Parts: sequence; structure tokens; C-alpha cells
Amino acid sequence: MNTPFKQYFKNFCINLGQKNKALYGALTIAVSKGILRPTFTMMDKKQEKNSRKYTAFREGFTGAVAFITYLITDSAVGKVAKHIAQKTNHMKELPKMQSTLSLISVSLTALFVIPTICNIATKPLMNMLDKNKETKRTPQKPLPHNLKQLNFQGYTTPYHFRNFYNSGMKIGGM
Amino acid sequence: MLDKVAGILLNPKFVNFANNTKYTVSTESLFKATGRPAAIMLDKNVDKDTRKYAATKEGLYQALCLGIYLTMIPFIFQKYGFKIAQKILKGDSALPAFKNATEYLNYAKLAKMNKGERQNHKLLTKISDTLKISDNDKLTLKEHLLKDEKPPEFPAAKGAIELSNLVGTVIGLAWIASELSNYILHPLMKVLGFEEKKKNNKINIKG
Repeated sequence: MNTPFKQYFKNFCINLGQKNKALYGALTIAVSKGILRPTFTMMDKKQEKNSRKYTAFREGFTGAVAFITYLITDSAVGKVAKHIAQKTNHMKELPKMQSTLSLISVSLTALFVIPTICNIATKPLMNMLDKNKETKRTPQKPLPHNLKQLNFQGYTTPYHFRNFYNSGMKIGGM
Repeated sequence: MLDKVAGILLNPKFVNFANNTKYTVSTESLFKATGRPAAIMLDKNVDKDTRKYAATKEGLYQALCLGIYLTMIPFIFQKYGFKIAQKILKGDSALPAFKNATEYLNYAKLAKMNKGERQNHKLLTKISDTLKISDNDKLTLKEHLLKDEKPPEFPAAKGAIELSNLVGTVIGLAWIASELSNYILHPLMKVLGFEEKKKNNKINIKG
């Protein structure tokens, strides 16, 4: 029996079989990693809450940047492929040309463009979020004058405090 | 000049490579495994040791994910994805009853060759002697390969494999490989001396 689902599945498979591009794989990775990795990070109770938020933000941001960048570079490369096909009289083979150029664009985007954008944009974005956080904080009251010196119980450096290591930006998205 | 570029872009081997999800995902992951660590090393906002640590971790993570993904794809996703597609399209001439995905892939390789090249090719032995597109077809698929200039290519079968690979990318690469590599990564970083260094640094600072 030919159900609508069967017909849809068949058409989908035929189209994918004929017109598969490197872009589809790259977009699938960007979406799935952009959603799954931050979710797992937020579920990891071993990490400090703030650290989890930072890492998850960075991972989600990388996924979003990757998704948009892949789409932009692929559409640009599609135009280049059309230009080459027109000039060389290969219009019938344009989909093949687009498919190979798609692989080249995806590879170069993964190698240069995405890491560069993330390097440039992550820090200012993090700082911006930090500033927003700071402005929301209620100002603390000054300590009373009769407390001459705080008692650190022998601890002299900030390294003794647990939060010192667990806060701040994480590198490597792990 | 443009003719040469077009020639390279239309090279059948290159086109086949670019149409295969497994190969393209692997290529992208390889570039990530080199591009991201390089970008981390170039980030001057972080000190050298942290950069080295993060770059090694990122490179190893991407390489491990790729290794796990490539191991899982043929044994799990391709195998079962193709079977599920065959069940959905049962009795449809778009996807004949190939024994498994490997038999179809061998058939597809032969179908892309010239007729002369196909005769007596060793892959012919791996195609079933009785398999037909449908009961109404007089020729078996093997006979189509031997007699037709352009035997049917079954894009639906190729699409079913690509779809399985895409699903494998989500479940295998983004989920299972990510989780598994986290378990392998830390012992590996310890073997390479990175985790120890990190610990030692902490002790030195405290001291």
C-alpha cells in the first residue's frame, strides 16, 4: 500500500540520493552539537554552576556561528559554481559542481572561518554578559569599622578558595 | 584556466567523495581537529600552558569523536538504517531487496563503471544472481549490469544510506562519541602528562 508517509520517505530518499551535499552533514553536526553539548554541560553537576553556564554558552554559540557561516559560505560558493558552469558550458553538470565546491567551502569554513569568528566574538560577548550581570548585582554594604582585619584562618592566597578555579571562561568547549 | 577548474570539480572520484555523507563528515571533523587547536594556540588572551592544554584536548576530542563515529557508522547506522528503509519501501521498485547496504554499494560502484569495465569485474561475484528490480522485470540486476550501457542506479537506496549516515551523525557523533570520548580523554591526557602538569601547577601555586 502506498501511504503518504511512504511516498514522502521515498521522495526524500531519492532527492537526498541525487542531490546530497557536504553542507547537509555540516549543518546536521552544527545543530545537533549546538543543542546536545550545552545540554550535557548543563546536566554535569560536577562543575560549578557559573562555569557550566559559560561553557554551555560557548558551545551553543559555536553551533550557531557554524550553522550561519556554513549557510552563507555555501550560498556564495553556489554562485561561484554557477559562474564557472556558465563560462565553461557545463550547466547540465551544475549540481555536481556545486556538490564538490560545497565540500571545499565546508572544509575551509571549519578550518579557518568558524574558529576565527569564535576567537574574535566569544570574549566580547562573554564580557558583555558579565557586565550585565554586574549591573544587576545589589551593592554590598561596607563592613563595620569595628572589624579591623578579616580572619582568613591561615589562608593567604585566593587559590585556596574553591570558586577561583571553577569560574571564568573555559577553553576547548569541554 | 576555468576549464581546468571545471575539470577538477567534475572529476567523478571527487564528485562521489563530495556526495558521501560519511566522507564529508570525516573531512569536516579532520579540519576541525586541526583548525580549532590552531585557533586556540593563536588566542593571545590566554597563557601558553593553558593554550597547549586546551589545544591538545580539543584536537584529541575531535579525533576520538571521528574514530568512534567511523567505527559505528557501517556496523550500526548503515546496516540498520538500510534495513528500516527497505521495510518502509517494501515491494517498491525504487529500492529492490538487496541483501544489505554493502551489496547495494557494490552494485552502485559497478553501475557507475563503463560497460566494458564491468565485465568480469571481481565485484560482480558479490551481487546476487537472482535479485530483480521487481517480479515483472525479465532481467536480474546482474544481467542489467552486464547488458545495459546505463543500468538503474536506485537513488532512493543511496538516499537511504545517506539518511542513515546523517542520523548516525546526530546520535553517533554529537551524542555517543561526545560522551564516550570524555571518558577516554582524561586518561589519555594523563598519559601525555597534561593532567599531571595541571595538578602540579595547582600545588605549586598553593605552596
